Amino acid sequence: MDLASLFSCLGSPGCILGQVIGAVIIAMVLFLVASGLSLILGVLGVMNFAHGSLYMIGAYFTYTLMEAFGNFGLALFLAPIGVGIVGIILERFFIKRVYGLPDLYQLLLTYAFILVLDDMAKLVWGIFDLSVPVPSWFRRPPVTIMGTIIPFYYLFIMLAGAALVLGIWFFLAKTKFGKIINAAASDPEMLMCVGMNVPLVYTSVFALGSLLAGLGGVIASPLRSIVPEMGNSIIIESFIIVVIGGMGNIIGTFLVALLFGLMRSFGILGFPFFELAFIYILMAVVLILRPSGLFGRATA
Amino acid sequence: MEKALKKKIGRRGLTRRDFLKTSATSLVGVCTIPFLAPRAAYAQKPAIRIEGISSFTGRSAVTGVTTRDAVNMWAEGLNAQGGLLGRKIEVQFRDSQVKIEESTRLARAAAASKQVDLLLDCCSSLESFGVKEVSRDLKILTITGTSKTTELTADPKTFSPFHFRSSPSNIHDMAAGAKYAADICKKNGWKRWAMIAPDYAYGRENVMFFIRFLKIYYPEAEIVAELWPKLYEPDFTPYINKIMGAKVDACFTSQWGGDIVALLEQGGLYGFSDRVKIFTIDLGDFTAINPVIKAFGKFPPGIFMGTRSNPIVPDTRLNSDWFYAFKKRFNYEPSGWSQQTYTACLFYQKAVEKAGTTDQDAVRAALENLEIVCPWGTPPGQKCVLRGRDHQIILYTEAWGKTTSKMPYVEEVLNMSWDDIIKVESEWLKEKGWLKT
Amino acid sequence: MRFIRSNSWLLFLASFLAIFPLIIPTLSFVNIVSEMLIMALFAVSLNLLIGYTGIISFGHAAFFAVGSYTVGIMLQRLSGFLPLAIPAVLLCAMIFSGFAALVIGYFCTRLSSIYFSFLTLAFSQIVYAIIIKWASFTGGDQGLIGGIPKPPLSFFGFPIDMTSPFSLYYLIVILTILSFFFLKIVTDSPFGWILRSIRDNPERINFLGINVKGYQMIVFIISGIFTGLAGGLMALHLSGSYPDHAYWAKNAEPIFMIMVGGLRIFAGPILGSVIVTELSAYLSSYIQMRGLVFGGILIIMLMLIREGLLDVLASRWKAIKRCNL
Repeated sequence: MDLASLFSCLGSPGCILGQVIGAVIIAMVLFLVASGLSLILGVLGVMNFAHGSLYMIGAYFTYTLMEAFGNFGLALFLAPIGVGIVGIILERFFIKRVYGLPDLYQLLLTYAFILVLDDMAKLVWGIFDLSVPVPSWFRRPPVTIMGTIIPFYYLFIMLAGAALVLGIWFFLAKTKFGKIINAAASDPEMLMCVGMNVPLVYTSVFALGSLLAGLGGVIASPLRSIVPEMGNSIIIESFIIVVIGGMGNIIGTFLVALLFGLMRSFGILGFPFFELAFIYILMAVVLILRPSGLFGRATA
Repeated sequence: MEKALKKKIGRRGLTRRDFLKTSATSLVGVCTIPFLAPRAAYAQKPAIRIEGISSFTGRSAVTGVTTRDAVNMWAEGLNAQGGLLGRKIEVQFRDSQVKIEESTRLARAAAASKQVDLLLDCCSSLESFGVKEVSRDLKILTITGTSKTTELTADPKTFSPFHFRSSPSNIHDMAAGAKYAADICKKNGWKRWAMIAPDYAYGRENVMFFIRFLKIYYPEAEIVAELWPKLYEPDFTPYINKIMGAKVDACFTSQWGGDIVALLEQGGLYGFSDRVKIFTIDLGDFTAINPVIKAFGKFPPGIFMGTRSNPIVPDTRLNSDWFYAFKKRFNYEPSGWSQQTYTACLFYQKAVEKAGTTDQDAVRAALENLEIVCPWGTPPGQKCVLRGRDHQIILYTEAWGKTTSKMPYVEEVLNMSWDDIIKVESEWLKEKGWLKT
Repeated sequence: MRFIRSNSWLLFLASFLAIFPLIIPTLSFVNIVSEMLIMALFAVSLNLLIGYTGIISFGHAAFFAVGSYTVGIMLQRLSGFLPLAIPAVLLCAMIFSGFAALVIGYFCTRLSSIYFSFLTLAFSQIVYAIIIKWASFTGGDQGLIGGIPKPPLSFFGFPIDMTSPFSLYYLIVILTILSFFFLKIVTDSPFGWILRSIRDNPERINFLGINVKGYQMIVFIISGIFTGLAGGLMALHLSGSYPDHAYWAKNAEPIFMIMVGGLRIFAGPILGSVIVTELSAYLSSYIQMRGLVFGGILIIMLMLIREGLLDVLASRWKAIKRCNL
């Protein structure tokens, strides 16, 4: 334990700002993946283990688009759509057929997807680590606030991320499509009775969830190494965030992702020893004290 | 069949359960048949069978592919000239998926088949311990080409006459690196140091040795911060913030592969490599160099790095010829693992030629203290030796230099002296009680 | 007696396993069958929860690791001080993992469905973190390297050399077959039928006055005990204990075996273990496409068959019987 380090940072506003920003960046990528997962789990009831692989595909698509066109804006737009299409294929041809079966089968199916998608990524893009350069519009000297450096790209992620969080929340809570999705989550049969094409709704939700994961991959690609299996660590973390934050609850998911980011940033300073187990201890504590998650509704 | 079944079951009749169970067990019986079939028999003169265990899954696939290609290159070259002792060399690699159970099982299977002449352990450092156990218990000739954990060969308690290592030992790498760093820092007065390394045996050993040897050569050095991100950590930002906050002059990092790329990418946003002098051992592998070039548009100059596999380190024709021959054959630059595993093959080749047979006991004896010339050896003689007391390779090139933006991406290369390395190594071994004076 | 008759398959299996290596003593057979049996025990124990009680544990690897490290640490560190015999050490492995199951089960069974599963995952990852961090005791991320000494067993005065893979094989066969017998008794007993009712209709069972959580606790502990035994046997087989044994991916292996072999039949996970282990060994040379092939097979199974192999045979047999009547 290194409490001295932790307190000295907490005493300096510059350091706090620096670590908080680091936390927000971590949280944003996690939020994008977890929110998609939350939607899919909440509405379709499917534990999509392959969500991390969708994130990975988003990063790989970004690499290909950047190699071909060099325009990050294009990648930001096209790559998530590509991942959404992959999601549609997975849902239409495979997941659709296991809806009625017990949870274990869906879990195994999506786990099998990970094996297949990881290998396909290896075959298509090769075994070597790839990377994407930070887009040229963000290659400006970093901003300095309170003695702390803030990279330009991070400012973009924070602003865009905030807009996304609000946008997704607004979409789900206030628009008609959002209400249809909510209805499909609570009572699909009723929805079908009023003439809604529920399978279409399901496919759209899966596509939307996949798109969000892909977007997470796009944003992360200039920061991290693009490797096969890069989705495997993020999927566990995302699941935990969804379980703690409450399924289908977008704001809850964001807040838990932020909490997790803060735990990592400040935890590394004060409690580096426990870093491995942070998120699991958090989940254990939350589930023991509040069994349906921090913000979840009491239904399972 | 039916009568026998009826008799067995008696009055109750053939129940569903009995049928199911009997078919299940017959299935078990059928499934075991493949194991009784011996591995493929060979026609004419028996081929020399070399089996490699590595990982071909996910992010570790780089290790598997680059080592397998190196071994294949060696085997192809020899086979084109009539083979080894007139026998064809056959290579089979298997995937252990970075799972210790899998690698030990594959090693056991290779030993049990009694048809494998050489086992090449190209696994992660964790798995190599398990494979060495198998090598010791079942007495199969094994050469490790990837793991660098010092303990694998340094601890005399786990010595095995059948196990050798052709990859460098962390203690040697760090002895060289720390001296190089100490010399530079003394000149420039860079006293305050941070250490950042992946939190597992490889990272911990590297930092432990680096600090120890740095203090020997440059006692004024102060270690201000030690950071331990987990292996394959995606987010280095909190660590970068902490290092910059600690206002250090220099930073030693033992991150490798995707981690060093991510660290530099994320650090780049903060101007990390401009503000802090970075000393890295594993950036010098082309599997890291290429993505870093992609990320920054050019290879960032001014970083101090050791090299793993580089056409001018050492600066000899033997080395550069091998490097470019590999690149031409496979269309990518060899990794450090490729080089180390190729060296294992060269040792094996010379030992077999010397012993005149592939009998494992004879080859094993021939390998003790064997000296070969290899692309990687320290110039001018370019010799490498498998030290007798611990079966560890020594005398390969330990060189550090400064990065530059043009191929081969390193300049001002200094070959560190093996006399110095052995001296500090012996001191450490004596302290541990692992070396009798 | 009736029990022995209705489980004649188990006796048949036991005799086959015992006699085969005497006729054809190959090391490869003994190696792979030892592993198949150990994982089959793990899978059968886990299936007590998944197939019979209907609760999915993601964290059973924790008990596997507790068993594995108990055996490893006791034999490696303590055999200098105490005269330890392998059976005693294995018994300790079962006791410690049973205790761990008691503690973990107490918290987990208070939850249901997905929350139960994730809490078990949390606990097993915490166990994993403890194993990695407490390096002085557990060997850290390298595990217990250097081999596990196996003191000879004395059988009525005769010392049996336990370092031979063949002796170890027989020990594994005896212990796993006995465990299967015991667990079969459990699942065929009234206790077992209550578990099935909990799986099929938990609300109704609750209304009948049965303490569902209590039964879940008990089966969780039983399952934990035998998973710990499997872990201990694995440590002996591998001559080492590794943190991998506690990682969540280790839990996926028995789940595959259960799924492939069959949920609802006792022998399902055993068949699953044979198939998955063999497939895995076979695929080890399919180096560029292992995931593709393994995942592809799984997907095809899930799309077409939708149940484990023995489940399919069972329902087919039921259908045939009905027609014959």
